[in-house]
Amino acid sequence: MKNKIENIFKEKFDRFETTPSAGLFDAIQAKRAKKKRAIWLWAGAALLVCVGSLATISLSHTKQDLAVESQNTTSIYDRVDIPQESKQPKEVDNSDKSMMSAVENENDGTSAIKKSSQKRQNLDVEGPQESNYTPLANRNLKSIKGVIEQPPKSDQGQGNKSNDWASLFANITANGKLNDKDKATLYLGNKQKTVDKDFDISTFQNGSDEKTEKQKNLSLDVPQKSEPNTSDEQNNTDPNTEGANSPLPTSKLVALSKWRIQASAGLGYASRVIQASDADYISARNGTESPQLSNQINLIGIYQFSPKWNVQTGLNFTQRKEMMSHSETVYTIEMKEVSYQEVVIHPVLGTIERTYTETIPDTTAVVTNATSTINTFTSYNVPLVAERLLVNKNDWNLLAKAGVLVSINNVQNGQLLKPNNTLTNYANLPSRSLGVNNLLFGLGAQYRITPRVSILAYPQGYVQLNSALRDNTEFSQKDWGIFTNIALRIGL
Amino acid sequence: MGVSMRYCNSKMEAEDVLQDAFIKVFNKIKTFKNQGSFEGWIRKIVVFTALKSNDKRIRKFEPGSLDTTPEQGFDSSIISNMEANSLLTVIQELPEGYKAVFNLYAIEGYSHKEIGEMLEITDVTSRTQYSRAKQSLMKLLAKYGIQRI
Repeated sequence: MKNKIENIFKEKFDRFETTPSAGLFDAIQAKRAKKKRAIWLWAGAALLVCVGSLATISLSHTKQDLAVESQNTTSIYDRVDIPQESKQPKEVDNSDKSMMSAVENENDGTSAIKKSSQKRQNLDVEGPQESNYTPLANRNLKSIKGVIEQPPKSDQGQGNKSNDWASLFANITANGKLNDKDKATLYLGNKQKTVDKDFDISTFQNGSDEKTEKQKNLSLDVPQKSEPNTSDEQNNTDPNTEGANSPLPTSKLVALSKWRIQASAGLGYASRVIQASDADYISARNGTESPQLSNQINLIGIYQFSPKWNVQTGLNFTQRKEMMSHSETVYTIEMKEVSYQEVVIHPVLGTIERTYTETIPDTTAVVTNATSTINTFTSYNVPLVAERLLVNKNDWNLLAKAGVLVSINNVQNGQLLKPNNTLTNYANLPSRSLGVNNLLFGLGAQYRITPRVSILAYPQGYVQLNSALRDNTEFSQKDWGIFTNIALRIGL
Repeated sequence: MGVSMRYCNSKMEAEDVLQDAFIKVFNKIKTFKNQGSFEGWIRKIVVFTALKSNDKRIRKFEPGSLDTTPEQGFDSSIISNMEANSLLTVIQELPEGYKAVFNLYAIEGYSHKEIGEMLEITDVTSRTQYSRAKQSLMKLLAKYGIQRI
């Protein structure tokens, strides 16, 4: 129960008021207006970034579509693309006829190509990778498989005329806009021939007499038979009667599954955004905490569901570090004696001077406490990411990805300054160990070392969507970071 | 203004607190649910803003023994006869920690438990600080009392 002193003070100050300076409310108005302007500036900047990103994505998408339509070829992660099924599958009983079926089907026009390109399987060719190797696009898989599995027999009177089939297949492409459904153009090395549906494919060979030295180097590294060509064959420049002696290089064709695995690690810069109603508190936190080198490790599985798109998931480990340095000045309250001198002018006694001492609290005694710790924010996340191929050039790919990181464990260690300017351990704060979601984005360059193995330089960033501190009404804390990951991707 | 003056050492400082407090009032006006008095709500914001402002001059609370006899021999009529402005001067002379606890308990009417939560101290510490605050206040008042002779 409060006693007399409290009541006296309460009564004295209950209605006590003093008049503030005249300009105080003008200052409040000015400060509020400034805050509003800042909000509009931020909103404008955010809008600009969104519009810019959408325009970039849209432009990139348009360029890709144009490239596909103009070339009628698709250069993707893997060297050779073959459609899984055709709209009009043909019977496979003869390699030559099958090939022509493939050509005829292809000549149905660009729309058919677009449809078939959506259902593809990836094949790859081992051996030296040539820079001018033309990928095979939009083919009838059944027909092609038939050709690969059933090489033409020499008893057709043409000898081993189907040598270097892989090269032939890989170099068949539609010529022009495919307006003529009865004609197609075959390519083999530097040779090309416009043929109709009655053309016998077995008569079209890549004659050694027409090969340049460069083309020989760029061949599929197929072991050649040591048997030299006969003089007749050497002199024969007619493509219909040319022959070659290499066996079908089926052993050099590598079927890649749609699954890849990838391991990556990187260092980076990570920090956090503090949101609080008290701007001074944000300033105090920024003054006491400085980001340190952070690190990240990713182990992910990739499912390549289309030539340009894949989805990824796995495990992400991210550790953000920061240095927390705080120095506080503590005013200890001690009692000290102070001497006073008083002069009283008495009307009768005259001037009376006296000295007395008082013990009063002394707040000037200062103690400085310095604290310095490394704070660590460790999170284990499951990434759910979609990746798209943006640009392909020879063995180089430019990739972009976006998705979310769903945290499965979050651990925070260290100290922080609370809004009341006292230090506390993160362990004392109610924190979210599960379900801290992050937005993930990245832009990477991929270099193919072998058909199966590639390395990537993949800078990626994340932004935390919800605060790691639970039920904290005074402030929220959201992490963000950018990491320069180096990755190794292996096709299964 | 009267509220912020009690928590600050000068008028200028009190005006800064009042300015920050009113900006918070304008920003959070939508959260006021008409469940209590508007004046009380603003007063609370001013008090909290003043406390946060004073926290920048960090103080150290040291738990001590409870002094249960602070008012013995004290003439409360001296306080009753003093003007509020004079009392304010005395309160402003108190150290930060004492001043906060004294204001919150004696004038605002918060319990020691509530003060402990607000200032991140234990309620025992709050009681000790209040006790010491009153001792200091009496000494300061005694000083003024002598001057009034």
